[in-house]
Parts: sequence; C-alpha cells; structure tokens
Amino acid sequence: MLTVAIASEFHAYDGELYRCLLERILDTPVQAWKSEIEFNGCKHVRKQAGLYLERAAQEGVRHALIAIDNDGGSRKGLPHHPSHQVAEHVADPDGCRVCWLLDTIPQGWRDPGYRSCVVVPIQTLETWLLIIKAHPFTEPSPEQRYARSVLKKDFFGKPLPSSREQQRLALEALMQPDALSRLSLRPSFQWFMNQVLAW
Amino acid sequence: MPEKAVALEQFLARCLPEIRNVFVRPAPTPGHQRLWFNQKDGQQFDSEHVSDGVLAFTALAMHAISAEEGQLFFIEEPEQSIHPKRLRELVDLLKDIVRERKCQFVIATHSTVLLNAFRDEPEAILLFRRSETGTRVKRLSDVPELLELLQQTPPGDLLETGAFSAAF
Repeated sequence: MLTVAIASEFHAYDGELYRCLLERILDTPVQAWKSEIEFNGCKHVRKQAGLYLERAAQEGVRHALIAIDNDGGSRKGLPHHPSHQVAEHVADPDGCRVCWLLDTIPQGWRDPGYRSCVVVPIQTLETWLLIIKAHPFTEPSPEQRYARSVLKKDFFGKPLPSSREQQRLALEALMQPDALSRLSLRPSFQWFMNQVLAW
Repeated sequence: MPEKAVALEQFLARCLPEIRNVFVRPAPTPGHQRLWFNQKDGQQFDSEHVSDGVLAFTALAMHAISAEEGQLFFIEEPEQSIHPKRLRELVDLLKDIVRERKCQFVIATHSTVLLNAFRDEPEAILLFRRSETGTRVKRLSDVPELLELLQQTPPGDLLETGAFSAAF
C-alpha cells in the first residue's frame, strides 16, 4: 500500500478523487496520509501545504500530491512553462498556479527519495469528469470555459448534491474502464499523469 | 426504531465520532422526554450536559431529517455555536433533503464557512442591505461584478474583504 500526502482543496472530495486517480495510474493500492491539518480551498493549500508535507515527511511519507483548481486561470494567466520564474508568479494574484504549488514544496521534499507532483486541472476537477462522460463540449471549449459553477452543474445537475453524493458520482466516473484513456487526451491530465508515472 | 430516528443516529455517528448512539428517557418533568447521548467510551450525557454546539447541531439535524415533502425552514445563524466542520456537514444533510424531498431551507448567516459551501450556487445566496428607504435584496448571481470575482474568490472571502458591500 502506497501512502501519499495529498494536499488538495477539500480532502473528502478532491483528495479522494486524486487518491483514486493515483491508484488507477499506478495500478497499485493508495491510501491518503491522515493528518489533523485540513484544507478548505485554494488559499489554505497555498498556506499550509508546506507544513503538511513536512509533517508527512516526519512520519515517513515519501510521496505527495499538491493540487488546486485553475478557477479561471486559463483566461487570466498563461499555462505553466518550465522557463517560468516561480517567485514572479507567486507574487502575482493572476500568476501561474503550477508555480504557486511548486513554491509550497519544502526543501526537504526536493531530496532524492522524495516524490511529489503538482496538479492544476484546466478549470476544475469537473472538467475532467465531464470529459470522461464524453460531454459534448461545444464552444467555448473546456480550456476557454470559465464558470466553475456551470461546469459543476453540468456534471452533477441542479441543485448541486451534497459533497458525499458528489464524491460518489465522481468516483463512479473515474472508475469507468475508459476513464484514463479519455483523460489522457487532455494536456492538463497528461502533465499530471507523466509526473506520477515518473515516480 | 422509526426510520427517521435511525437516520438521525447514523448522521450523528458519522459527524460526531465520539457518539455511539442517542436515545430518549423520561425527563424529570412528567410527560416530557429527554435526549441522551451514549459515547463510545461508555459515558452517557443528557442534553443538559452536552455542549451548545452539539445540542444545536443535533436539533437542526433532527428538524431537517423530520422534514416533510415541500416544507420550508428558516434557520437563524447556525454558526453561533456549531463548529465550522459540523456546519459543512449540516449543509450536506440539507442539500440531500432538498433533492430528496423538495424542501427549502432559508439560512440567515454571516459565516464565511457557510457561504463557501454555496460557492458554486451563487443563485442560492441572497444579499441583504439596509438603507434609509428600506432593505434591498439581490441574488449574488445577479451582480455581474461579484460573479466575476467569484470565479477566483470564494463568497466567504468576498464577505470578509467587504467586496459585497462595495458592489451592492
């Protein structure tokens, strides 16, 4: 069983979905490292992921995933590029969110033996879920789509169900046999998968 | 055990891990019943001896679970005594009941946690503003400036930073 410290916006939803995706990509059982530190949104992840990862390392965890949604970033900011100056983007409220997350990784986690990855779905996790469901995206394309509430209602229906029901519906989609092959066509997912496969 | 009592017990056991089950016993006042909490460590407390938060959480959950099809409920500032994490669980319960029984819950709140639980339903958040001529009411989704901000900032943060007041 691989234990992974997952720092995501909401542990019970995003965290569980990422755990499931890790299991599917790595084809091995994955458990999320349990901590008293809880995240509630993007800001918390930026502020507390470093502390969370340090605590996880103290308890022997060597694998970590840090994730936030892009939330309009594709319209306001440029996609991540290896040439990005992380410090510049960290200081910019509309900066590259991958750079934001890279900045949260403690120095110790950059040593050999530690494996981490950062994930920023193109808008929200529901964009990926809609792609699995073969949602007939017309214009604007997923990359241009901006309203996260619309994406969530497209997937879950209206009114939005409870977070437990959302988790159930989302996991059901992720467990579809062709989920990974459909998702692999998206650059944001490909980037995530490549990092994990390099573990 | 009646179906709704089972539902309440399951909900409390899920949200309050120290609780094994709840039950009622005759209260000192003749004809009254009192709610008791049975903890996993074997200790039992009646409703006079649990925290205000647990009591308010239980009472609201009980009312919600007892809701009949199409009923309308008003809840006044549940954040006064309930832990933020429990508030989110309460919202989850209410959302299930809204979908199952077409009930409506109107919650008056200043809680950033509660507002954030409706981040993706801005049409469900009504802003109230008092003025000399009366009280103005507007849906958050009907204020384009706030709707734009909402893409990157949860509504609780907008409340904290005063963005609601500035735009409405």
